Amino acid sequence: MEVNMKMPDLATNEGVELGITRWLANVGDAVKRGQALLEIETDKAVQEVECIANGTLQTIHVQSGEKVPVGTVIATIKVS
Amino acid sequence: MSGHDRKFLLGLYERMLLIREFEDTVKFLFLEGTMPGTIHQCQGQEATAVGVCAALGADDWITSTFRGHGHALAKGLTPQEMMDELFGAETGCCKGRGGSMHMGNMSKGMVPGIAIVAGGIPLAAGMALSFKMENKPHVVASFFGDGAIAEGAFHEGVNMAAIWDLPLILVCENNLYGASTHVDLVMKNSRISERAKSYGFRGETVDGNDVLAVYEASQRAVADCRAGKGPVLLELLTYRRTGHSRRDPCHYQPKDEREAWAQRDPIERFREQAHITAEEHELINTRIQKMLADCVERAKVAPHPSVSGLAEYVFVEAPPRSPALNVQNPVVSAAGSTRRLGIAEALREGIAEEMAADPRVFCIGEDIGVPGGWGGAFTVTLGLEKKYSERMINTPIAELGFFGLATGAAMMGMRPIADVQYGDFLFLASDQIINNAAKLRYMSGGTISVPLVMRAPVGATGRGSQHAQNMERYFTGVPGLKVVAPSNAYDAKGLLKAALRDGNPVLMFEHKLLYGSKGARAEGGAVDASSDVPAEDYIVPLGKAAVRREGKNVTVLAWLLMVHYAMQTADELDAEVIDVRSLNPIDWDTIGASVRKTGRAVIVEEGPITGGVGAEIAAGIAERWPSVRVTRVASPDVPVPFTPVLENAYRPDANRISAGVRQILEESHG
Repeated sequence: MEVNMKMPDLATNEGVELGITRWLANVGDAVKRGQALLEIETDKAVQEVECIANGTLQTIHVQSGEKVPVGTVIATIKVS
Repeated sequence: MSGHDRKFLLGLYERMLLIREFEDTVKFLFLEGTMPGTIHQCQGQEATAVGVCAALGADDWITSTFRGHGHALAKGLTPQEMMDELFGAETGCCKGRGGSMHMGNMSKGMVPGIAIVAGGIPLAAGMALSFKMENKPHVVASFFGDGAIAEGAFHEGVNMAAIWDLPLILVCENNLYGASTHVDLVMKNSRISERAKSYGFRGETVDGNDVLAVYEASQRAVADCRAGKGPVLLELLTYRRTGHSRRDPCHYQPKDEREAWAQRDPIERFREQAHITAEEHELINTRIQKMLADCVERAKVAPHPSVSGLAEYVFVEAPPRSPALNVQNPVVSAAGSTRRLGIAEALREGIAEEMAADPRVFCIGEDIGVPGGWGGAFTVTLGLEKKYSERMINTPIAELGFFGLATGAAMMGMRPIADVQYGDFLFLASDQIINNAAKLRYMSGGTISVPLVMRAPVGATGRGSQHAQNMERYFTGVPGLKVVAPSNAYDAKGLLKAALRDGNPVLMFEHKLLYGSKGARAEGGAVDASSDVPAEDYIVPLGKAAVRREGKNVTVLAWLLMVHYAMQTADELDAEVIDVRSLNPIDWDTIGASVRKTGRAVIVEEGPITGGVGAEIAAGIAERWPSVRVTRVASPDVPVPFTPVLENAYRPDANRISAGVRQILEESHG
């Protein structure tokens, strides 16, 4: 089973796009629910975002340095 | 582990793991963007909720806060009813009206979370007071955070719990931060348990990440409370491993502090302490994961409330009081006889009759039943302590606290009458009145009723600005609160009885110049508001205005003292005078019948013209009957002055009412 991970709603203002500052795991890595998977920059702070499932990081859809709206699929996890 | 059987220990472990996994599941649903609203989570604090609730019986109660998911699961709410609530579903524990911050279920002994940090403490003390008054063995555990210590509600609630030895366990989850602010920044003495001693009872600081230590301390506290040696303050030292709310990255928690507390994680510690095997953990964890996955799937498709139900659960519809109580009323005399009584006497008689008829009725307030005292500021309860000493609760000067206690007692089925000495003091009590008494029914999805009667004297009477305001304006637009304002003794007694039997919070405003108080408490400039009061039991229904004089030319709408002044001018102008009497709800039927006939309305209000009740009545008339000409006679927008010459200019009188009426008559003739 695959799970799509979306850009979380961590902005304090409506309609703001959130930027990914860096990925903390590579495609193909084993990942666990709760581990810090990436770092994002909101209008308030830079903060880590936790992985939402156990499995393998299959695809990264949005690269570091890019900005996307809340709800955009940013990664796909192949669930173990 | 000696003394605890394996099943009990595994039960504690499972309950803590359930809380952790529930919170994580919810967190990831938020990160996915699936769930509405906001959340305040308790990862890291599982041992406090589980340890305390394990020491409580099914008939014991808890109050909680905005961070209440753990408390709810520990008290026995199901993950499904909570998940449904988080998704805003009709099947949620509060029918989607409460949400994350107001999780609760009265049938499981949990009041919906109170999101004003110390607001649950007076409420819990009131619940405990009701148990003591009714000789019930239950105890209340009131959960709150370190941030609550600085609020006045903590002091007022705790002080009263101490004075009356109430069966209340004050559970302070000290997680070191109130939102982002460290306790050391806001307390000179951050050893919170030491505060108990200053109130005269026992406090204890406990390792809040050790579930057995919490359980054992709670057992001792429960035993003390059941033995009449309450209250007890438990300070449970713990740590929040997640943000204050969902967007909080916790940058104010130092990394080494976080890591040190992670080493003391309550679940991992207990796994070692209780020798939970890998197999046992796996079995429990698998069961929890499956249950939570099912919960989420069901909650996602759970039915949402119908929009047509938006206004449901604001008020109790049917009076919960048995009509049989009326028949048992021993004060009822032979039919037909009346006595001339003033408002203070009529209210006193009404209260005495209701206390005789219903053991749940009690009075709570300042100076209300002190032998040799005044019977409240205006003699309404004078002498009642002779017969009902147990039910005349004389409080400290602590309006926020005792209105909270009254609300909590009402919620548990008592029928309290809480009064302030001067209406101006309602500002102090307003958090409990507006945020708790008026809203709890709605927030709980209609499962709570708050049959609370509140009384407040108002009116400019030679006391300057802070013992004189007309407070009606501040409370008439509060959903869930009924407001009445009688102008005579017959109405005062009848409305009081109706209010006590209504089942909803009712606030009664009384005018100082109308009481007819005698002796040392007589008022200069008093107006005779006495009535022929029947000796039989009667009520004046809530929500009904009264036509005091029929007339052709104009409708004058007034309440309290202004009714009397309006009547003085009515004959010369042939005005129809309506005593609005019920300010929420407003009786539009009676008002409409009159203004449709006269075509003109003059609204008379003691109190500043801007934002008054008169503005609401004017708007209501304009919306319903646009051809009616409306004007207002009210006080100017100034505080109530002291000096008689200014006070008389401030308060509308018969001359100003007459001028207002003449003006509207001339305008519409011109």
